[in-house]
Amino acid sequence: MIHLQLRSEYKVKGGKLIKVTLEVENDIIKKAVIAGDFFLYPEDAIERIERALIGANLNSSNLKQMIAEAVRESGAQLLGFSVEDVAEALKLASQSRV
Amino acid sequence: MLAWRFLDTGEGDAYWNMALDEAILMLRSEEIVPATLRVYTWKPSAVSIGYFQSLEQEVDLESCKNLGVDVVRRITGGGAVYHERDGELTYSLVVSEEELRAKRYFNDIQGSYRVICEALVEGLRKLGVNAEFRPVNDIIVNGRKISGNAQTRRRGVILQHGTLLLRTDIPTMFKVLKVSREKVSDKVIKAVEDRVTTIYREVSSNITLGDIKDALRRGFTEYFNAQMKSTTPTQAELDLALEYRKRFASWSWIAKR
Repeated sequence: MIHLQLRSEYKVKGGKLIKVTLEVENDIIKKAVIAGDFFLYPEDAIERIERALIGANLNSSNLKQMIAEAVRESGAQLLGFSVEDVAEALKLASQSRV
Repeated sequence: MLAWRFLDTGEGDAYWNMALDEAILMLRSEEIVPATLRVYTWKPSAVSIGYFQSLEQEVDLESCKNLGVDVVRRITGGGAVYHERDGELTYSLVVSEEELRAKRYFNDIQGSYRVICEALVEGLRKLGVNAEFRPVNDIIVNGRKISGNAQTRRRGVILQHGTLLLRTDIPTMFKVLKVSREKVSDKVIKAVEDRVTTIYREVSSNITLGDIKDALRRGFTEYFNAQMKSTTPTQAELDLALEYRKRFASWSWIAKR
């Protein structure tokens, strides 16, 4: 089993910074933390968005859709960043393997 | 005219400061207290991080400990702030969405930042500072940041709190915050100094902290056409804040992310 921690920092247009940390086993996401200086309301929706990624394959083309769905289901409003930005930060993290 | 309150709660520690903001928010949402403008400062100096930030990635805990700087996680998003004891004034506004509805930009969260920041801008103009709102959440003077602001809501009530920089201590700020991986050279410090400004830099005459608080109060009063009664927190607010303070001071909350 290959256990990895992957990280990325993604600068959003307008200035906010998204910092993603992923715990990955054999390309399956075991834990995701989406941190940064953005705004999201209600705040605890972030945990729901992070949970939605657990079990997903790191290389899945559906990650953006998963985030979008979790955002919609939690009724979350994003300010200073978008679902696309989070997807981009995840992609950067997945590419951070050396 | 709307009957609002003005609270000058003076110096408080980081946990108390954040707890009282949340207590006012909760009690406003239960319609127990009116809309409230509060001003306060931080003793000891402290770092506050946004709800979504990683403690470990943003704060140099060792330096904070050595310098006697507290660390607190906010209930609002946004970035990490170094609140220097005598270098910064914080305000908070607790107001229902309903009470902002008369204002023209108020139709979404970004609009409500604009509305509340415009009241702050009005206050700064009273000091002769030509400030303006810069989305998402900043107030700038000639392109330089003087104030950062952050919001959350509970049941239709908004809490927006924000900083007003009085003077800078950027070398200490760099010690307590993990600011990128760049080496903290004199050049980098100078670059930050060029991007921010302070009240004391912008106002040439000698003004006191009291003058600044008063200007904010007058700015909010006029902008919202509210009657601002100067008072102290209620016993219910103090009790609830004392309760919340335990959470803000707990490691599980501070290191939550």
